[in-house]
Amino acid sequence: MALTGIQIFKLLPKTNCKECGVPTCLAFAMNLASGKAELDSCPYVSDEAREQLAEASAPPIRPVPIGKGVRGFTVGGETVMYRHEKTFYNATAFAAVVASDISDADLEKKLKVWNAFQFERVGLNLRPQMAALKDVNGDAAAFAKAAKTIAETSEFNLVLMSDNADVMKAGVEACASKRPLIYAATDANADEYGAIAKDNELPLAVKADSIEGLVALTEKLTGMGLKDLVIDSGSREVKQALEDQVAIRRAALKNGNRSVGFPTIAFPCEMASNLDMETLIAGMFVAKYAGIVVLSDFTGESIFPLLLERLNIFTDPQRPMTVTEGIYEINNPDENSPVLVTTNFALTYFIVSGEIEGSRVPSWLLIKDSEGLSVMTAWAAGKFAGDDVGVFVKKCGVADKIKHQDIIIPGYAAAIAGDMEEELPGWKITVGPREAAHIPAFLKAL
Amino acid sequence: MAFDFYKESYAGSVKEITLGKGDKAVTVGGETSYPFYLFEGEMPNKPRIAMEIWDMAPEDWPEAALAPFKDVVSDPAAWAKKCVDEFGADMVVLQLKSTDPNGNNASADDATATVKKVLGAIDVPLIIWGTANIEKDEETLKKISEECQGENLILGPVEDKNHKGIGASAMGFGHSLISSSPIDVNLAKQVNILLENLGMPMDRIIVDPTTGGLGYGMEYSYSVMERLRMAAMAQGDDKLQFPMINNLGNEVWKCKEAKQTADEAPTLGDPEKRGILMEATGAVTYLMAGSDVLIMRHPESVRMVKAFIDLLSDGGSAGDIAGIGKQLDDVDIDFASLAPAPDLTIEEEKKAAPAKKAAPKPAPEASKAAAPKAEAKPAPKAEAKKEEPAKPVADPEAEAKAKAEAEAKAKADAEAAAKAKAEAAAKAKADAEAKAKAEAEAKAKAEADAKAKAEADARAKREAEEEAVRQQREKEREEMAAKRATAAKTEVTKTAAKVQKSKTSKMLNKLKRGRR
Repeated sequence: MALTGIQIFKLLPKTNCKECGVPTCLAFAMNLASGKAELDSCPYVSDEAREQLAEASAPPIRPVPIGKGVRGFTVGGETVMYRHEKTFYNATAFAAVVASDISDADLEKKLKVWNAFQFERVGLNLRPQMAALKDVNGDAAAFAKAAKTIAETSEFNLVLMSDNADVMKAGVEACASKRPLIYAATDANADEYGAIAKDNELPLAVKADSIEGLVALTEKLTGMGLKDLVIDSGSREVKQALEDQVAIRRAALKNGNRSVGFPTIAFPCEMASNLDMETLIAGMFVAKYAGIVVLSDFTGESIFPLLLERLNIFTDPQRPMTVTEGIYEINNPDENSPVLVTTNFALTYFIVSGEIEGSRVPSWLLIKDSEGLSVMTAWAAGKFAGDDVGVFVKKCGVADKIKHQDIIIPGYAAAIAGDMEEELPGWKITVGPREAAHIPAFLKAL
Repeated sequence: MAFDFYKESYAGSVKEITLGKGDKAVTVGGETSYPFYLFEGEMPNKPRIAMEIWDMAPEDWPEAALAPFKDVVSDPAAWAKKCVDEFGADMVVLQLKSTDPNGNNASADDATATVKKVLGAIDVPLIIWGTANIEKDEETLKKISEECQGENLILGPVEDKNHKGIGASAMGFGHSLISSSPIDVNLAKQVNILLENLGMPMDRIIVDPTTGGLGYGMEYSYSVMERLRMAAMAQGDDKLQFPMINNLGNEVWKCKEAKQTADEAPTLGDPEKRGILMEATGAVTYLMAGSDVLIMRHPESVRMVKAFIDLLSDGGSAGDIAGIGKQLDDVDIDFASLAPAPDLTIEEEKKAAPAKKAAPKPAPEASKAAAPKAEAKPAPKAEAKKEEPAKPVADPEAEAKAKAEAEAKAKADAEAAAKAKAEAAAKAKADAEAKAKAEAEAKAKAEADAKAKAEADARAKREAEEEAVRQQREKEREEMAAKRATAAKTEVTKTAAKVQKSKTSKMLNKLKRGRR
């Protein structure tokens, strides 16, 4: 059933108008074939072609954009079971629960506190994205008010959780402009909730008590014309939840089952009695396929490990992570502090800077662009050659910041010392340790 | 569509290996499915946690990690006993930190004495982890192996360079080995094969794929472990069907964020719980990748991860599992005052504006042809389209080619460039013609009419041309593909030769890996 890129290309207008966001129709066709693009992005495709392509071109797991603003995001759109097969595209989103009977002051405080939990790393801002506003007493006015506060005074996007359609309508009205996720359409209310989502063009979560139950519901809702769905198989025990996640992902990717081709939402907050165990369960969901993970709260110590895990799992294995070339100050160095140079592979940078920091010796760390290769591989590939590094040291301007002319190079790149000396007359090149772990001892002995 | 659960069929399974001896021996491995995929296979032995102790009092542990062991850190035997008696450790790992030649450089005899003391204090399996210094580990582990005959210690890490010495000794004196390689499927296989060739019984090997810390390279270990498991089970590679061990606690607790105090990093929250949760989150991730033995440090993360393993294996609710029992005082952090002001901007979604369509730089020929027309607005869309075919670089075929393998490239590129140039010139001429025609017509008819017609004409013409070009290119591409196919074939036969890799070729492999 799936068409190849070339087959799809033949059905496209072939005008290379770029309006779909890629430079050529062929590139667009390739994206369609690999499930990375949607046919709707092409404004000129004929109805006839559309029909032929509709089946083949929809991504196996639909990418669903949720929220607006700086914390808006997309979930789903995944094309592989294992990250090394290509990459995972859209990182798991984290949400935490706010009860709808929260006082104004408490809500204001909570939103502020949550806003403190954002962490800079390799040029990325790691942070959770959502507040899950939960209707606890059927009070539509209070629900709407809290939704409005969250939408308008914070960066957080919303999951609106209520099984009362009137409450939901009030909530949607209060924050529809921020594209909240409606939770959830069930067997009992699918028509009504489907209509709310459709009228407001909002994403809708679907909850059933089994995957089979989900299939029936999503078929009904897609029949109503809804596309942006998020699914919850209802399992609240880890063993079954893992099985469901795997079953859903496999059915969507391996069997092309469209009725489960949607991102999932998981609820560690309903699976454990404390945030610590929730964190472990969330850890499983990040690795195994959840689109949105709802926790009972955010704290620095619980969300940070999850953000790190998410960063790791969703890093594109096809592209090494890098840091920017330049001079990095560690422990407030002065003009007499030692200067070290290494490559711009993110992991190298983390480990080296971490060890220098740990040593508490004030130092200058020069990061030379090595196209994301580690020291030994960069050296072997000629991306960390003596003359190169020498030129970089000259140009980066570290000489203006220091009074000495000593520089420390990585032990694995000892061979470049000679070339560097030639490039940097008057400088003293010292070969440092091979392993970063030995840097503190080395620096202390200087 | 009814729901059909796609089940994997496996060609192999993981070997079972028994660690330690006597009643408290621990068996790991034996999986017949991917980790915890119990709907299509079995995990006869749950993954186990080994608690780590050091052979010297650690200097740089954060308070959180030190607190549970404060009274025993200077006595490895007492420390090991506490892990078993108080925290219920299934196994103990003695990290031979003191033997590091770049540190204390304690002698092999000293290390052996410590091992004996620890052995005397516990009856659970004992894993001995060296310092990853090849020579020193060989010396130390050989000595320990000799002196502790028949204890079935688990010795490692064993690498290709010291596998002979440690391997022979472990065989002779009845121990198991940790076959270690730096995050690489092929290297892992190589060490296993070397050990097999040496005569090491295959039911006494556990694999260390090298463990990255949470946020510090965990993704590399994670994917290598998944690939090792796939090779073992989906492809049935019997050289990789071993249980895996992860030296996790050591990696997690040494990273900056696990050590920082509340003053140093207030937004990271409670330092004690943070370290524990970092270790536990890392453990859960490694369990998902297929870990059979996790080496961990903090009793609370050990307890929670154990409970989590039980839940994954046996089912049940996590509601009864308690959260972290703190030993240190709570910290009071005023997060609200640390929070930045929220950024409430919401970018309006824009459909690509017409102005944008004209933005890409026109190729010289095309711009010349299109220039006069640009005044006769509005026709930006047609222009943008017209520019396209004249841009040799933007041709889809050229792009596809760029991605193609390097072998056939140089030649094909030259060809393509020449062809594209000729075509571009032809097209520019055609464009100019079309425009001239349009202008002539424009004089006779109303301006708007002319524009529409000219556009239509030009477009029809262009489309015809493009179609021709496309067919030409398609042919070209097929030829190239054929060329590539043959090239690829020869390469395959080349790599099939089974030779031991030299250092350089290993390096090259790594490079290729980095580029994937």
